[in-house]
Amino acid sequence: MGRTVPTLTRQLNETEAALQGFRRALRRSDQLLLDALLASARPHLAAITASEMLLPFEAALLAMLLEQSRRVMLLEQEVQHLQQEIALLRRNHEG
Amino acid sequence: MNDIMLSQSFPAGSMAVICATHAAADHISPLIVRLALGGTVQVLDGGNRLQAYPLTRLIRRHTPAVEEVSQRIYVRRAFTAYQMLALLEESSPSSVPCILLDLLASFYDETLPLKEAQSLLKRCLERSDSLRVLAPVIVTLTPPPTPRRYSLFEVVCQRADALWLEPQPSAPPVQFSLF
Amino acid sequence: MKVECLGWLMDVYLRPDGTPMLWLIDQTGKRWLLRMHLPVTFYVTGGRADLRQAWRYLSSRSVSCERQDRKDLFRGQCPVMAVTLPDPASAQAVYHDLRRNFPLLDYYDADLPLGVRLAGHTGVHLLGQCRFTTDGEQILMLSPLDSPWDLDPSAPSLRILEVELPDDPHLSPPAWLDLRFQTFRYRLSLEPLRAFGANLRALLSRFDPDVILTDYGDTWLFPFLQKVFPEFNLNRDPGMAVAVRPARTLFAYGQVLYRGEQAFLFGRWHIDRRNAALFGEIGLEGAMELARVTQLGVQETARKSPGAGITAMQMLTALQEGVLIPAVKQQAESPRTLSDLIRADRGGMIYQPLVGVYRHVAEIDFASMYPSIMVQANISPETLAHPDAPPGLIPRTLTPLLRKRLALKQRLQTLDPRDERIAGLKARQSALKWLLVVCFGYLGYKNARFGKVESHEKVTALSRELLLQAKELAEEQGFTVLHMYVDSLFVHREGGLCREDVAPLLEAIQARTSIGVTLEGIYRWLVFLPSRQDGRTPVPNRYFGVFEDGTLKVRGLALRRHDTCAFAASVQGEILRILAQAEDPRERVADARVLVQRELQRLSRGQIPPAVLKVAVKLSRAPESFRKPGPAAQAARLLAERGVAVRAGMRLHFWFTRQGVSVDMPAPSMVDVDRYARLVQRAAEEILQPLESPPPVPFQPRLLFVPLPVHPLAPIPEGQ
Repeated sequence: MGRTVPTLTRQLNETEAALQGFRRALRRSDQLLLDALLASARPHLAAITASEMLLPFEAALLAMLLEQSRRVMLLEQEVQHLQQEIALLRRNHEG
Repeated sequence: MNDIMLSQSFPAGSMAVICATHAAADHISPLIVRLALGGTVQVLDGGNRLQAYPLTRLIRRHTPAVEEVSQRIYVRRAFTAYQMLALLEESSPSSVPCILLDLLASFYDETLPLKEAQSLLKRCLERSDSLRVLAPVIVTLTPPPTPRRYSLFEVVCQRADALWLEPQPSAPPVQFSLF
Repeated sequence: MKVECLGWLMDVYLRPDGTPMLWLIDQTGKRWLLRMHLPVTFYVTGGRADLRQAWRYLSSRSVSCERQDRKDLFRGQCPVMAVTLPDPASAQAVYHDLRRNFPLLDYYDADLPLGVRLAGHTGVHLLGQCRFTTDGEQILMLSPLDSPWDLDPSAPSLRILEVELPDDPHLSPPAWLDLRFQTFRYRLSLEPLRAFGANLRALLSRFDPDVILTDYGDTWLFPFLQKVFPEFNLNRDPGMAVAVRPARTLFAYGQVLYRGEQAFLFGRWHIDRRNAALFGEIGLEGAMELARVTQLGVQETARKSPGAGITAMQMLTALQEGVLIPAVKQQAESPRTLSDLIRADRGGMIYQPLVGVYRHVAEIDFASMYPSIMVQANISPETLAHPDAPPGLIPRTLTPLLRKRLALKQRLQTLDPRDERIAGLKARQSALKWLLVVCFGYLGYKNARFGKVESHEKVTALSRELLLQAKELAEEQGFTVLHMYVDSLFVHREGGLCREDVAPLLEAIQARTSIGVTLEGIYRWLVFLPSRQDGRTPVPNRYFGVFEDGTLKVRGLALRRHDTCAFAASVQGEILRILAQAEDPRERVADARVLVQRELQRLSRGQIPPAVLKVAVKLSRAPESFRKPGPAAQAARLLAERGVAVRAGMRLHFWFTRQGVSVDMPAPSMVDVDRYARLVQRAAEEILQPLESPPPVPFQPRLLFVPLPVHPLAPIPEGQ
């Protein structure tokens, strides 16, 4: 027995297809960013489903934000790490 | 076909029949939303054709009140011809427009004997006649997958006050081309 | 003269005149075919006027009717008209006649399988041990001596005749048949035909087999025998002709289905190994176990999907408890709003895996999750609105089935691996597993007599909740959840894990959910693959890995698909075996590549036997409706040209050759080497490429669970 509510994958594909006009008008480099951004929501399909949103793209946007936060956090750690290394280098250099 | 259909008015007492591939699923969603924006609408789905998320997206184009409008679309599904009849028999005439999605889907199923299908369909149509007294009934159909079930399709089309038929791509049985 | 015997009920069927016949084997090995008196009652309800008319209609035909109160599953006790006929055949005729004339009435208990009726009437189940009294013609008394739920049912020893063909008879008519009976071997040449017929008849009467196991018996041998020897009866019951059900292509369940011809025997069984869906896995023992618990005959259970068995089991439960069984399911869905539908209509939990290569992963499975939920949460269409009601019809039907399967599984675990009972127990266990697998689908299935879509949705909702609980428990215990798929959970912990590490998690999940969980195993390593179309997107249930004991587990690779040729599948298998030897599969990629090159060289030198290059594709549409014929359509045309009736839904076998496709096995030199090389390379890359390329960078999932680090400061080389 088939289900009536289509799978979220299909639903998100349709929403992304609806964004084609937006995508076309972007510069090539921005198009790639957009593609990566949209793809970053895909690992969270289960959570997007569980959100029970009538417009699941809203939950998908949250998932994209979440992935952005992760990147920001990782970059912050990296910066912190580099800063510490610089500080150490400086100290060694000065000492 | 979309625009023509949307510009139509569907008066009470009428039965409109729309026949297209996928039971006109793409054409019927805007119509369901148009009706739901104005009030309650009942959808009896005979072939798992209701496009749930596209409907909510369409609603969002008209109003931010997606939840509210979605609550005005009542859905019941039938997975067999018997269930379709049961759904129709359990619905009483009201001023709520009724949409029968892919009415014949389970009637085309060849595990159901043709005679039985014919007799069930007859009763379904009698029932839909009484439903449309106060509000329109809109039926969508898929062309029969096998000529053996064409008679069912014909019976429904003959019953319609307005009939839309999607032009079928003319695909004569093709000769096999050599590789 | 009356005799009393102990024996087993093998089958039950109707003679053309409507007499029920029982096939029994007694303790001394004697085979009996006996008539039985089996009166049938069915019930009718509906509008008063219609009912009164129907009553008059039946009375005028001297059919006996009676007003009774019976229990309807949804409405409770209700008045019905009970119609009793002396035998099942006349009941069937009266029912159909009545339905034609009174279509508005509702009918109950009208179309039950004969085995279900017999079990309901006598308590004797198929394959069950029983006591019977007979005058040699007719059963005078019949009573049960065991239950279908006994773990070690006794069974008579069966005489099995096997018939093998040298090749697919649809492609080339065979020159001979190979027959096997115990230690005897015979090769019967089909020419001259008269001698062939005489020999076959002689062997049949000499061995008098209970079971004829064939290749292509349904679709070729029996129809062929019927055509060339119309007067030759392969049945043990001389009053019956071989029942050949014609092939059908039909449009059903939204798709084109093809069912080949089927040939049924009476007083013995015929099973065509090529036309029996589950037979390869469950064998004769499994088919008999299915018959034992479902009351569908062995010839049916070997061929049919187990779904029909679940329906029959529900019917028997209802029959035994006096609950009316509707002839057609009419329970329609209750109305709900679009937003409610979106929220309810979701499947099982599918958690996208974290793509990549992992070492030390535990797979935890919920045992028979859906049926267990149905029993535990009392999911049955009539209890939907009353959660505190006593166990409903579905849980009552499933409980003994779940218990029996669990007991068989436990038994298997305690036996010595060399124990000769293991094969039989395994076959029976997996036959029961199939019933449990399909029982959930049948809850919402459109033709299930007692199904309701809402109960289906409730089960999936509960299953999602269970998996979320399991995920939370795993995370509380410091595991990373790599993947969840419907009823299984893959967890991982940096630094490795062993069985003892996972035990507390299993206990916690079981305590919280009250559903049994088992450790499927610990993977030495496991690879979750991304989508074939988009390397950035993880897809569920596509992985391969090797357990600690070296066993491989594969999902979603080419070697699991029916249309992959044996050669490409075997290359994948070889690659996996090479990888399985390593602690980390990435260490052995180079070795695997050497193997692939060697196989490609053998292919290009024509050293691969064409037999393993055969491709099988299911024809999706009628052959004449293809515009641009792909390989399958070309094969269909070739077969049609030689008079084979090709229909949509059939599985076609063919080879890629330099000329296109061939439905005959080509000579090695004619094989389209390039095409097969591409197939093999694609199959190899499916496994090897993900091992070589790191997962896509920005969203590298393994970064997800790097604990927020205090990076140890790198020592700075001296002198800087």
